[in-house]
This record gives sequence, structure tokens and C-alpha cells, in this order.
Amino acid sequence: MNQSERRYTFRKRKSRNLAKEGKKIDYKDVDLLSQFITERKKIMPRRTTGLNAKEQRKIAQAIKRARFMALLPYTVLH
Amino acid sequence: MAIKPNIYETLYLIRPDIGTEKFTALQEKLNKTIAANQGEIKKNEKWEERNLAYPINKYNKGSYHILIYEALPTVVSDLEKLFNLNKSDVLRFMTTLNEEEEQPQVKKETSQDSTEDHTISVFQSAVNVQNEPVKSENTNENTETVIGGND
Repeated sequence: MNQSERRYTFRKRKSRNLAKEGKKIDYKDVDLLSQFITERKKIMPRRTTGLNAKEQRKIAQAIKRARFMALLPYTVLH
Repeated sequence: MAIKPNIYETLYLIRPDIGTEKFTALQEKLNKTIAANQGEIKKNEKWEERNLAYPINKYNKGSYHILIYEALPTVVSDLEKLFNLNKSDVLRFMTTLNEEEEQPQVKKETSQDSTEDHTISVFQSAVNVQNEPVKSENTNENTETVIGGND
């Protein structure tokens, strides 16, 4: 029991607020969006990005739009 | 009800082989459709020419163009029809609505209000809170009269 509890203790989350940093979320801003995709070009989960729920939804929507416009890839195999 | 014009932004992707004749013809058609919907074009520029993230119709490069305009909402479907007719030239397009945010300015104004206005606004908010339960009681009475019906 003690070992399983130790495995699931998490380190303190880093939180990030894009509105406070003064950045607007736009699907054309590839430099900003590329911070939120993994090496395999998947969208990072919220526990990794540290964003709040509203911004996480906006970032996900912007990444999907950028993928449609061929600014970001869907997968690494292209 | 007068329909207001909105500010839209369209990003469209053109294949790199397109000739200048077809490009100018496309631009003229765009101008016509926007003008037909009481529109003004604010910006019509080349945004980038870059490698695509994945091949589209076997093209690995493309040139992106951005178009910002203010027009009636009916322009969106007209532009979509235009782009869909030229699918051999226009590979992708996306239209979004540009909303101007003015909320932070409003918050600054309320903080600069004098103390007298603040006390008045607090009193009014307290009065409104007292009025709300009275309204709910009235609705209950209305329901009783409707359900009873035995007057």
C-alpha cells in the first residue's frame, strides 16, 4: 500500500496563464501552438501544460484548426 | 432589425504553380463577392509561402494569403461557394470572426468611480436582492390559481 501511494504522488503543478502573459490564442501562431504539442505531434494534456480549462479548450481548438490548414502536422509519419 | 456588418478574416492556401492570370481572376471574383455584400476590404496580403506540414494534392509547398474585410454575414457562404468552385487552385480556406475585446477598459472605469457612486450602487444591489424573493412568491401564487381552478 505504501509503495503504490508513493508512485502516485505528483510533483507540484506548474501553472501557466496565457492571458496574464499577454498572448492571444490564434490558430495562425505556430510558435505558440508548437509549445503545446508533443514530439509525436499530439496535443498535450492539461496536467502537462498547466493551463486553465478555458485556455486548454482554446488551445486545442486552435491546434485542430492549424492542422486543417497544414500549419501543423496530424502525425509524425507524414 | 438592421443586420450589422461584422469583421471577418479568411486565410486561404493556394498551390504554388498558380499563374498570375488565374490569381488575378480569383482576386477579382473575391472583390466582387465582398462588394456585393456591402463589404470593405481592409487587408489583402500574402501571409507566407512555406512548406506544408503534410502533402495536399501532392503539393509540398503553398502560399498563404490573408484577407480581412468587413461585410454582412451573408458574405461567408458566398465566399465558401467561390472557393469550392476553384478547388484545383485553392487547397484550403478558413474564415473566422474577429471580435474586438474592450472588457479591460470597462473594469478600469468602474474602479475610478467616486465613493458616493459606490455606496449608491451597493444600496441598489441590496434593494434588488430584497425584491427577488418577492417575485418568486408571486409566481407561486400564480401557479396555485392555475392549478386550483376551483374559483
